[in-house]
Amino acid sequence: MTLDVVLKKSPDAAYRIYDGEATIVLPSHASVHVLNPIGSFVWESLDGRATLAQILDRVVEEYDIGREAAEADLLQFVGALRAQGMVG
Amino acid sequence: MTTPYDDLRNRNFSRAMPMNALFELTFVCNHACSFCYNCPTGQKEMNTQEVIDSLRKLAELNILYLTLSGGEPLVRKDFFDIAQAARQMGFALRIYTNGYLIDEPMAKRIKAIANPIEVEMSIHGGTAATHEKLTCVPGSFRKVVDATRFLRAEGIKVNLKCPVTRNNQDEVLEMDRLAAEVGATIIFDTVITPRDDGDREPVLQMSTDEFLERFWKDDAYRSARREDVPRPRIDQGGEAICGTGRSSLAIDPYGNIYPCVQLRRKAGNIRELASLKDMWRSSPVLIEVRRAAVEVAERLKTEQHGDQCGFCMGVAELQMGDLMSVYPQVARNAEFRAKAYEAWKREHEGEDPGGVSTRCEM
Repeated sequence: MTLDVVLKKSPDAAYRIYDGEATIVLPSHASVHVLNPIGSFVWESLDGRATLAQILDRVVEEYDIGREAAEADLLQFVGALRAQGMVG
Repeated sequence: MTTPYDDLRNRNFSRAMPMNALFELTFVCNHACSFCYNCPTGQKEMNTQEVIDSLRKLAELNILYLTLSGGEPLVRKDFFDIAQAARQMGFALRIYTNGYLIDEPMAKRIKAIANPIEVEMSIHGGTAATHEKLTCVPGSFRKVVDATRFLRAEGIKVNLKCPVTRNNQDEVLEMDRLAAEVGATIIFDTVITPRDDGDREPVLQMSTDEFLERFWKDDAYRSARREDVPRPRIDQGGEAICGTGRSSLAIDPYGNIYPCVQLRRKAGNIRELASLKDMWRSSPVLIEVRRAAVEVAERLKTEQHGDQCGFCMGVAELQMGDLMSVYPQVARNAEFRAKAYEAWKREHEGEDPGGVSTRCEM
């Protein structure tokens, strides 16, 4: 996956944010996921308009984390979300 | 060991941040069950727009799990408009239905539009004769079984519920086998509740002592009761007994808001409120039931077999006129659970089956 990709939340996913943590329910997989605050920040940004590069900019701006490490984490994280059918 | 999701739910529970709502979309039903707890008043039920406006308020309250119930929710011609709006607002849906209208195309439509995490249906016997004696609708047994198959074919989880009475107690094992055969889970409820108007006639149909002894003790019923042994409730140190008005709320077809579907103390009307948030924090009804739910947990510790009571404050109030009074049928059920537990301990000296959380959040 590259940073020019645009992803959006799967319409299958039901979710709410509690205390900054996204709780995501996937009916088709009968599973519930709770994301940490940075994961939740990314999740909320996956709106089908922003590229991953733009989301990376926001993460680096919002959190005290180096760009290189953030990029690796972001790509791994959205890859996992995609593998689980949570984004497309 | 707890998961991040368990931790989040426990945090929300202790701070009374609600996650669940049950919405009775209509009291109209295509069955005429003799034990039905609904008591329609004849008021005008909410129209499509009013329901959707109400869903928006529930979303603002950060409700995640929304149960669409009735009456029979699928008799509403706008059911799928409502379900679609709910999904677009980010709710995870459950549907409580009698399954009568669910044929193959309807199951596909439910999957495509509502995509529920679960569909729950009641079953009242292992044979058509027993089931239909209660529903008073010929063919309704076959419909439940077929609906389960159609929904399972779409990959939808189906949970069957059976209130066990003396009419169907001898078919529990048959129902358990049938559920497994059609790929559904099944829950047997051995404590029968009165109707919402206080009519106790259904309670008189509660299963016999002989059955309760067998159900809680015999290995043949292990699968049906879903546990090896009826374990006592864990002492959760001052925690509320259930999520009534704390983690959940219920809305009836007229817009009335209750702490729970079983506890019908009106806290307000959703049509009249601009937002639910203020009511959720300040409603005297909700504050009172939250407090009572903590007190009940403590009080049950002093009751005989209190740790085996699947206590419901709604039933207590309806039947005993007091949120905290132990009602006879739950005491009787607890007595048989405790006997089975003691017998198990005698046979398994030195072993500890542990406790169980019996927290009800719907």
